[in-house]
Amino acid sequence: MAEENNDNSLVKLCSSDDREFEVTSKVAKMSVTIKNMLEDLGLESEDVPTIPLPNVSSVILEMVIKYCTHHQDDVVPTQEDEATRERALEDIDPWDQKFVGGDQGTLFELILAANYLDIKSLLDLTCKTVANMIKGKDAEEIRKTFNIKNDFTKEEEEQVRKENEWCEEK
Amino acid sequence: LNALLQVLEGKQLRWMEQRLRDMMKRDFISLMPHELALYLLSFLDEKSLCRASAVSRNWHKFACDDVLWKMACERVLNATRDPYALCKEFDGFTRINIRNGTGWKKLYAKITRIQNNWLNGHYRLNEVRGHDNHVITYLMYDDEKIVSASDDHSIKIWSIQDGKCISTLRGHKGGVWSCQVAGNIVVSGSTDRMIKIWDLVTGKCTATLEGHVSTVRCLCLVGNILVSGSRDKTLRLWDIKTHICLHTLRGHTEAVRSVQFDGRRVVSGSYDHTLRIWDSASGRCLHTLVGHTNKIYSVEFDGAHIASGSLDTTIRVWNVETGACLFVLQGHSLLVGLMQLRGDLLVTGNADKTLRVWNITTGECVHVLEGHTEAVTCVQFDSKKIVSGSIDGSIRIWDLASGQLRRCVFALETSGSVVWKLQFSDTKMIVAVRKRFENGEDEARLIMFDFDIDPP
Repeated sequence: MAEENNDNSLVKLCSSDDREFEVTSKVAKMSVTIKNMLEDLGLESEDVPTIPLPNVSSVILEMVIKYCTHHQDDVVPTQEDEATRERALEDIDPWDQKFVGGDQGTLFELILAANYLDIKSLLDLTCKTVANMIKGKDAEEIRKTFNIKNDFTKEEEEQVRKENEWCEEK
Repeated sequence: LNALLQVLEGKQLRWMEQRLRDMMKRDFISLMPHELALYLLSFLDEKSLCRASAVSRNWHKFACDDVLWKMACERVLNATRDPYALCKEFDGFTRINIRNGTGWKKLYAKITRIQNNWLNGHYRLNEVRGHDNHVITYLMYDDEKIVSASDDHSIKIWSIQDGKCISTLRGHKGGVWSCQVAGNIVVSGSTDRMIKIWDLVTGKCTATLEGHVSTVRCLCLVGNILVSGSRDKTLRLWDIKTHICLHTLRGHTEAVRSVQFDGRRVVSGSYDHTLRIWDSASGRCLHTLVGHTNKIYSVEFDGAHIASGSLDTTIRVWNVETGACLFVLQGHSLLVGLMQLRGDLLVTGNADKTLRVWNITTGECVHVLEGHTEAVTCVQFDSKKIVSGSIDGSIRIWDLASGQLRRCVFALETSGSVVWKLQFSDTKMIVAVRKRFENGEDEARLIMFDFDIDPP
């Protein structure tokens, strides 16, 4: 019972641009970073605790909260599941696909936030999304996808081609 | 801003749209913290990693990182072995500097190339004569040497590098029908009823163990303890350091054909249709396993499960603690004389020309491998492939997961030629054959396959 009350208690998250978001402790604790902070604070105070997150903007924090709220009842995979699970890039559910379907800038910020807040499922989702954008493309297509300049010299390019020759043959 | 957009033409708007889209793009790999970039790339397969490494200097640095390729090496080899030991096996004598630099990607490339060579039949051959026209009864090799035993009474040691005969161990007065190598020690059993211990450094026989009153047909050496099984119906336990016979195991009523030993328990299979489990410390018989209805020719024992192959065409799986028969595996139509047990899988080679893959925890036959045109004489499998040899003179590779024939990797052309024994590792395969010539004459040969070569 105590556990449940604890889950429903409220926490304030404060973004880098000083916007405050009130969420349940259960949602907030999807982030291992926040969970640790809350534990460090202790539970003596009757006030709603405020957690400053100087590395996360309000736009991104809002998205992260949306993600955590949607996934708050997910079963956390055990260590063993993780080990046996193939790093399959196809198994992304439609809600998640839509969630990360925005522009690359937002996706980039989400990866940094997921990493900083230590939300493994969100980090995996966002990284897989980028990996999917790389997979199946040749170097020139990858450059176009991410607007990257080819800074190899002719000689280096030839060397890299040789280095990867084995991979293209059957 | 809105006013500006109003005055732009379609062409300009499209240009701007493209510019904006490009501006929203991110060079994820270069902008992210190191570890995060690697974590992202760890979701990619090897081919994608190679292509990513050709994008830019930054991407090259990350996509070639040792962390990623060490993982890839472990994945492709099922992570069953120490990766540093793998370097040795795959890199042989031209060791790449794995501990500093981008060695793991190179190693992965090499592993891929060698695995493709197996499937494409690309190898370098070295063939040497051995044991004249006699049968080769035993074959094994390690990093340095090949050891072959024969019914010509001798054991020969060959250089793994060039196939030259280093020494011939003579002393037995009968054919050598059982043999085992442990480091620089060889133990051998013969129709002359003797067991001999040989020092490979000097090439000399260091001890002769006498006691059996008929052919010594099977041996199993663990540490200093040697177990021998004989046609005289007994097994004997020996200390190979002191040369003392510790126990004589009596109970079988016919010849002992096959023996396995895990350092604690001895499992023996006999022509009397039974298996026996013995306690090596006391020499006591713990269980007699009854069920087969004909002679037992082969035994596999991994410390928990026992598999036995019989002339009654079945394989039985037994629990070593209780001695209970767990499964009777049926399907073969002739003698089951060849088996390898590895984890849950048992692969059997049969005189009925087929091989079968069984799951010993469910008792089901997973695959039937058909393709050989004569009896199967030898078989070995690893995490990916099964390799088999046959009286038909061919060596075939099968896919372990699907049971499909991948390739007939080698075939002796003259009919009457036979593959007797084979052993393979990741990069090599050594095969003992009887080669028959047009004039009808036979010759025992060792054939060395090296798969660590550049593709044509």
